[in-house]
Amino acid sequence: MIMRPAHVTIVVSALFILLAVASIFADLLPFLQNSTAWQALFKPDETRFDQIFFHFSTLPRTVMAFMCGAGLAVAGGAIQTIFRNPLASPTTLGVGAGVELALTIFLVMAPASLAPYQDIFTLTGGMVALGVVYLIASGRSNATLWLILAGMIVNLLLHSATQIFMLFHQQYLDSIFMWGAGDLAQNGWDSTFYLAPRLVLGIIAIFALVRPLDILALGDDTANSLGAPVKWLRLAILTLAVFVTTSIISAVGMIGFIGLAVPATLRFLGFNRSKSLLAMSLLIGGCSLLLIDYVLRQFSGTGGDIFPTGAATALIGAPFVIVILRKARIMPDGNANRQDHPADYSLAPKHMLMAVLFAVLLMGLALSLMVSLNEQSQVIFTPISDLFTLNSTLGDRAQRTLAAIVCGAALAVSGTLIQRVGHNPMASPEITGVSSATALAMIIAMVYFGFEGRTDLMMIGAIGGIIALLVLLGLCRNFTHAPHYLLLNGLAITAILGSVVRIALTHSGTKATMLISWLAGTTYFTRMDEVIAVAFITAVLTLLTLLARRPLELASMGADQAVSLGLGISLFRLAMMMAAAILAAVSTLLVGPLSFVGLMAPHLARIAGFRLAGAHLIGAILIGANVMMVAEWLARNMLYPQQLPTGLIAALIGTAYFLILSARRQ
Amino acid sequence: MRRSFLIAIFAICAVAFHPLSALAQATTYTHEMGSVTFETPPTRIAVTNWSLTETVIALGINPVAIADPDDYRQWVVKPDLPANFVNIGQRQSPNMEALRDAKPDLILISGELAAAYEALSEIAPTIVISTYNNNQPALDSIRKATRTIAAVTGREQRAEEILKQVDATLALDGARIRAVLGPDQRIAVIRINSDAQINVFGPPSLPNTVMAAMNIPTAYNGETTGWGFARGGLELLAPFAKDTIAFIEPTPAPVRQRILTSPLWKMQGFARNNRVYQIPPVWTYGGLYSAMRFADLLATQIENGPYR
Repeated sequence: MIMRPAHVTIVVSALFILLAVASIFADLLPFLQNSTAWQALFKPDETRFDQIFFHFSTLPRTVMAFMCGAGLAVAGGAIQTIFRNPLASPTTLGVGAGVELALTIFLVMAPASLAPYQDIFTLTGGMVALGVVYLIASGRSNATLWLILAGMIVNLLLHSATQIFMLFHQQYLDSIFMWGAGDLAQNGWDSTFYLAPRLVLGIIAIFALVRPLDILALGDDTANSLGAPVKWLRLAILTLAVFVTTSIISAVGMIGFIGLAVPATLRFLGFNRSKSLLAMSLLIGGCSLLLIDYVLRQFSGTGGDIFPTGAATALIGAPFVIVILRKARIMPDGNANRQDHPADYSLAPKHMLMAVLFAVLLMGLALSLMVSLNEQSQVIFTPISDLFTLNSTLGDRAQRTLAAIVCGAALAVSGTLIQRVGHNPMASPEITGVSSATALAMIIAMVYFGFEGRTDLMMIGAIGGIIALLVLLGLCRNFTHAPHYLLLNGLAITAILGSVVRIALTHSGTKATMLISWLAGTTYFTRMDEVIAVAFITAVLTLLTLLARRPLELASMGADQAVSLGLGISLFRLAMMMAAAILAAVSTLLVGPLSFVGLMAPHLARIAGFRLAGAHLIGAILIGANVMMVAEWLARNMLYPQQLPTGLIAALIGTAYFLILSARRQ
Repeated sequence: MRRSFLIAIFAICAVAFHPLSALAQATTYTHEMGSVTFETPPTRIAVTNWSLTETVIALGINPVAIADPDDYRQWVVKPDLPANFVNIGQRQSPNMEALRDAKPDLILISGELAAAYEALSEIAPTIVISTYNNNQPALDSIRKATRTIAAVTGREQRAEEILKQVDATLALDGARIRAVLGPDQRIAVIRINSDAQINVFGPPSLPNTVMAAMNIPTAYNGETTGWGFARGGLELLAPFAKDTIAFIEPTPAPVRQRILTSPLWKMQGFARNNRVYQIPPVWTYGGLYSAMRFADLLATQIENGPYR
């Protein structure tokens, strides 16, 4: 059924306005009944708490919800139009994470005298993040996909940095965490009056630029030929959109997915002109956040706890993205990213390189066990003889370092399989959301069902990962498009994980710090028997994939060729993906979902010249193990006696690698 | 199989016929996750959380390894930490290497570290004592924990002294508070969390169980999380218009400022009636010294007058 936009406009906006007004009436009802509504709205009786509460909390909160929803949707609409990318939004392009990091640093470190400059500081944070994402993506043949991937990588990098920061400022953890979860609660009109002028100015300015926006939407070449100063217009509109987003995030915290889902859905419904798109975004975005917040308010305070609006919004919004992806055929031709395959560097003959990597791994292992730093950052040597006493410092170190190395290998194999079978050098267990789903299953089992045993958790995690993979494969039945859908659905799953984690953390009180460090990937709680179990699973699956290296080689050539070579491609793919999911799950328990080694190791191996499937696997394993070993040493020694999560360090190394790589390509 | 059987027989014989075995008085203690045996009371104790830290210090033993000592000085404050100890890093993941260097003969942990119990047991005998996050009345839990630690370390007498001191202190402070506020004035104890969030302590929490023991009526008696508080916006305080509010430091100064000057706070009964008191830092998840510190500070602040 296709309706004319005019009809859609009327029906949809009428529906949303009606619902929003109804929710406000529902709030006002008790006052209407004893005819004090006027008082409650404008001049509350100072002796009546219900009136005070309505006037100073419910009302500003409602206004705030509308403003934030409207602002985020308009900013998202503008960003989507500029990048001509329906999945672009303040949160997916790293702006939110940039603002979050900047604000966290500012709140914890900045002296009171700098308080007036908070806006500038956070705006810079958001703009820098967006700039980096844009630089990575620009000039690629498949900019649409790269923009989103770069956004994810920058998001993860900034998020890791924020988490490290938070782990060491636990006294502020509660307040930063609540803010990070997006809390709309109000105690007066101050925040509303702070935000309102900024939003009104920003939004009016964006609306003043709708005409240029329409020209930009035609594409750079067309716009250039029409004589538009493309660069400056784009910069101006982006700055405005980031300014609006920044103001909202500083005032109420992270509210995910409104800025993505609302304009994307509207565009799908047929609003193609910027003016109508932005106007509708304003209305629908505002009304939907108002409604979501109204529903959530009804649940607040149950069980002595609260339900943060921002996290819940992401929970509702993320599945929406999956639906949009399925409905709108937005992705460009399936083979475009083929040109993005990394160029080969012939650093050294392959066998030499492998031998060197292996030697480095062994030497590094010995060094990382024997050398450590103390509280004054002085180098300490522990004699190797200590290793052979049963219960020793070296024994502890060996246990943790082996755990890291094994996980590095497991993730490397998992990443190689996903990259080869998915024909996509940017795929990995982390990015397709398999790791996230694993962690999600474990966290839900831990926080809501009280599972503590690590073997149980590992099983639950593996099941979660496999289910996620099956869901992904189910969603991507059309295999020619599968690579992109896999990634973008993975994005949605990662977002769902993020919000569930935030909700679970606000519900688990002081346990939060432990969950955060586990999620960030600490090897701290790892036991030798677990390491052996994971090593065994990894070894078996790696051997199997090595035995299957020829069909794997064919599968990575592309479905059409492989099928014509007589390979039952779907079943084989399924088996390989299953192996990848199991490997991701077992390593997630030990080092958390965000380590990024599964993306980096295969990618680096390929760049180093390991092209055939077998060599690619072994090269990736060696690189992954080396990276995790270094990360583990840094995690144990950088801030001794405090210990950083290994996964977080690995994520910092991995994301930094991609940033450097893309900078060099420019 | 046969070998271990032989070893077992040998061990039994050795124990049965060993001339000193009757004298050594090895004592076994069971705890939440197992049991430990000591020939002589342990003296080098490592502690991984602040409630256990202060309890050990209160019993007159200087712990050899302490977690998060810098934050302890800011949040728990008293009793003072000893001059020499090994810093073992964060409470949720105490550094195994540093812990080993401290050469403890007993490690005390709470249930939050259960996942590391086996690894810690390899370093030294480990006892798990959870006093919070289990919905048990906090004051009873920490009394029991003090007795347990005293029994293991051979300080029963000191423990009884402390328990008597607690009873006397709470009775005295209760009387001081009633002298100012009258017998029926209810008190709600809160922590300011963020610009929009507060924690209100409820029935199982340390503040409320202490106030109950002081014979002071508590204002909030509703549902709580496992840690003994309810979390929410300032509307949580609406039922306490006629009661007294005590907020516990530390709070970041700007956050305190914004909460206390917000209309939703200023227009509530307790603020209009000028019944708001500021309590200096005291660890609301602490041991018996924290319980006494809370009672003392509450009484002193109420005598000093409301916050302005």
